[in-house]
Amino acid sequence: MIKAGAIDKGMCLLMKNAPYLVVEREFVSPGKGSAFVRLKLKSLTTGQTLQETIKTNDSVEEAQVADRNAQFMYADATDYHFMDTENYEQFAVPREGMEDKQYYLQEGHTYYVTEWEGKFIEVKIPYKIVLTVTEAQEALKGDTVTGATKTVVLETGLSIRVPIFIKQGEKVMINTESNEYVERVNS
Amino acid sequence: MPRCWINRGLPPAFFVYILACMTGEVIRARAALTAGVRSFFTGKNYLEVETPLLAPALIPEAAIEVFKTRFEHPYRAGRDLYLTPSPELWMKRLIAGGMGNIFQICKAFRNAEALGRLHNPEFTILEYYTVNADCRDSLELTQELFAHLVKVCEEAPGVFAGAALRERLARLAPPFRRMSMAQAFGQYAGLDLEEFCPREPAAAPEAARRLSARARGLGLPAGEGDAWEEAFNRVFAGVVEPALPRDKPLALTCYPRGVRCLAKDVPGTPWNERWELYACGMEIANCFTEEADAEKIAAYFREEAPLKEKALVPHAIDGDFTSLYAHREKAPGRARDSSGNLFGASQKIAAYGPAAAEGLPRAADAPKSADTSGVAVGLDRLFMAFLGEEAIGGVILFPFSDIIAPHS
Repeated sequence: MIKAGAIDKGMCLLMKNAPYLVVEREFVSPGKGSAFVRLKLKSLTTGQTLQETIKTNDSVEEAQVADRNAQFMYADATDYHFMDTENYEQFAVPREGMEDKQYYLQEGHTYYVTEWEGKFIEVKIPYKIVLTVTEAQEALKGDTVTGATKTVVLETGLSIRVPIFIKQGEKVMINTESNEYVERVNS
Repeated sequence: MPRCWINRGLPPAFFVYILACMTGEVIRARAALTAGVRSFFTGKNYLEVETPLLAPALIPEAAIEVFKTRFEHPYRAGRDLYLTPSPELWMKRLIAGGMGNIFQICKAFRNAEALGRLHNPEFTILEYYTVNADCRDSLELTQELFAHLVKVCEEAPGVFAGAALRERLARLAPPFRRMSMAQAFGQYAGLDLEEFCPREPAAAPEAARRLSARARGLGLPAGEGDAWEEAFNRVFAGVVEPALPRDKPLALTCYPRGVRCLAKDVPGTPWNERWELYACGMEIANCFTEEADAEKIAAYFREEAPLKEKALVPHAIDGDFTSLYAHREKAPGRARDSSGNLFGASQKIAAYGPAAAEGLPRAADAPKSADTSGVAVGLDRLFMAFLGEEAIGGVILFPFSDIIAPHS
């Protein structure tokens, strides 16, 4: 058990017998009163998010989770397949509840896969990743509006809005939390 | 974002470069806003004052932890001193001394506050006190301050560059929304707060049990033995505050008396004359019609002082502060003095009656108040709102989290 005031972003908590990832943490002491911590939690079993406000001196339980460093191999209809980079053991992570991960997982790249009570419940995607543009329309001539954007499709199938100068075959960095374009990457 | 780079092991020249290139815009905008605050108050004939940051004793506030330090005399005994968590204890002395309307921009220090998006243990506070005024007058004044700062931003668009400027200013421009605590609890927690307010101190434990039970009904982890203020805070922080509207600044008025503070009571109701201002979802300012009844202030000290003994940093209690008010009883003639009437009798309050619970309306024929009203503003947070910064580290140079404790 730890005090709620010691909770930090990225921790895993056990609430109502289920593991939750701390996505956001903010301290508030309303009206010069006692201190609270406001948490945005993501269920590691259902993917749903919830907000909790608890007193900083309330006790909470940390979920006993372990992260495995693993290389992504391929996805099939039901699972994502990984290989542990330490012992080369292969394992499958069910897609259910993590369907959106398919847009960020790149074959051959390594990720942290979170294990809780023998189940793989989360694949941690880096905050920023670089993906290749596979489908992009040519910008219309004469379209000189500042900040004009267009939609392109990336190698993983993800569609995002990018500035009009981005061409097919180029690499772009994206923010995986907001699905926003960050910058063009020169390879 | 003005982030501090010194802890990254970069050479000083690079650091200066970062300051000049990356943060110059925010530094200049902050300076312009501070100048705007000053010009607003001096333009209204408020006297700017500077009071000590070191004090031998403080007003007891159970929820605030303080910084303790020590004065060493080279030849005699030294003594413990405390960094002031707000300049209130000095500024009220000036008001009592007949100084008239005053304001101050200074540093305030609060210990043991968890760092994060909204807290820096050392922050800039703006306090202003208006005599012959109550918290309604202070709310009008604060709206004028916001209007003035909006104008400052509009007149220097180069300094306050950014595509979202106009939209941001529209969200900060008066008029503010006003909502009483009772309305907020009714709307967002579905409970009649008045029903849960103890009518007399002896009823508090029973009221606390009822409110805790209701909090648990709302899915909040309220303990069986929570005091009334705890139970109230749980419901407020858990379900009310997150739901407050954010499209305009919001003055949340008429706090329940069960939340102990130095604000005056609204007679015949469980509320007191206090408001807090929220802007962009942040608590930005706190205002009282200052309590002037010596007995009530002494009672506040009696209740809060023992709680300080359990604090992480216990501090000496400012006993002289209560005697300021006791003086009033001995010299009633002084209470009519129009220049320094912290101790003035309130002739005005009857003009409001219980209607004051509806968000501080003012009776058209209400006489001018004989009270004093003070407002404390977290200036860094105010600047965050005006500059569209998401974290307090974005508006202060050398944020605490960068220079002292990068990992806490």
